[in-house]
Amino acid sequence: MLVPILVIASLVSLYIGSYLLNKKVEVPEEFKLLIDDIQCTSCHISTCSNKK
Amino acid sequence: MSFTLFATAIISAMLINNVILMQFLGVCPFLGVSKKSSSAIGMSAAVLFVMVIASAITYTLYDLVLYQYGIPYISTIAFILVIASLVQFVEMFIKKTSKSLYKSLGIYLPLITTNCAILGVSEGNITNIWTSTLPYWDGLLLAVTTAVGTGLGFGLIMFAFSSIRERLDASNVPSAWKGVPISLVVAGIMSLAFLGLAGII
Repeated sequence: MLVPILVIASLVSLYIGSYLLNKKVEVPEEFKLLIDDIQCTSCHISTCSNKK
Repeated sequence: MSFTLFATAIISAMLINNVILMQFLGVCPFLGVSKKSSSAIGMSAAVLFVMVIASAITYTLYDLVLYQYGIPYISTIAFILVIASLVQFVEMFIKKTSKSLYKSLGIYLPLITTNCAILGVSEGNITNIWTSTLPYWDGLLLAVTTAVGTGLGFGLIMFAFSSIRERLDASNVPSAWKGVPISLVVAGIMSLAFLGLAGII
């Protein structure tokens, strides 16, 4: 019973860690220009890093 | 493992069991990101990229952890978490390293977290390929080959569908059929056409 809980807990921690790390890494200024004209009309992901 | 086996796996995954038209997975980006060919190509490249890496990781996780510890029933939730984490890592890596890759894949990567085609391929690898007697490396190679075929099939349909939609935008379609209705009719006809490929292999 403990093993599946440990596996899921470690995967959840991995996701949270990767999300926080990704959030910390800023999109370089030169890259931001590339996505200025993107219209995110078909996607409703609230955590998308491209949303302004 | 022969070349024929891998060629069969690629053709089967790409054309005969096409992920969009035959399995109806990944229909959200199929309809949402197919208005322009450039967007469709970018999305397809991102899906192919993540699908191949996700297949390798999920197959390994299943074979070396979930099966070994007798917990294969948590595979779905484990795969979802692996794919979501993988997308974050890939996005972070691309942000730090490659401008051109970020330009072509960057905006589509967050969409892939919710793309059921990725999860479908990972689950399909376990259902159709993995057996307890199959050597790890053979199974892994076959899983990755299937992922490549599926990703290419996804790209093929996305490109074909986006090209048709671009031409439809420029043609004289009755107002009641404009936009989504005519697109869905086209998707249905494409699906019927691909049904004709069933049974080739």
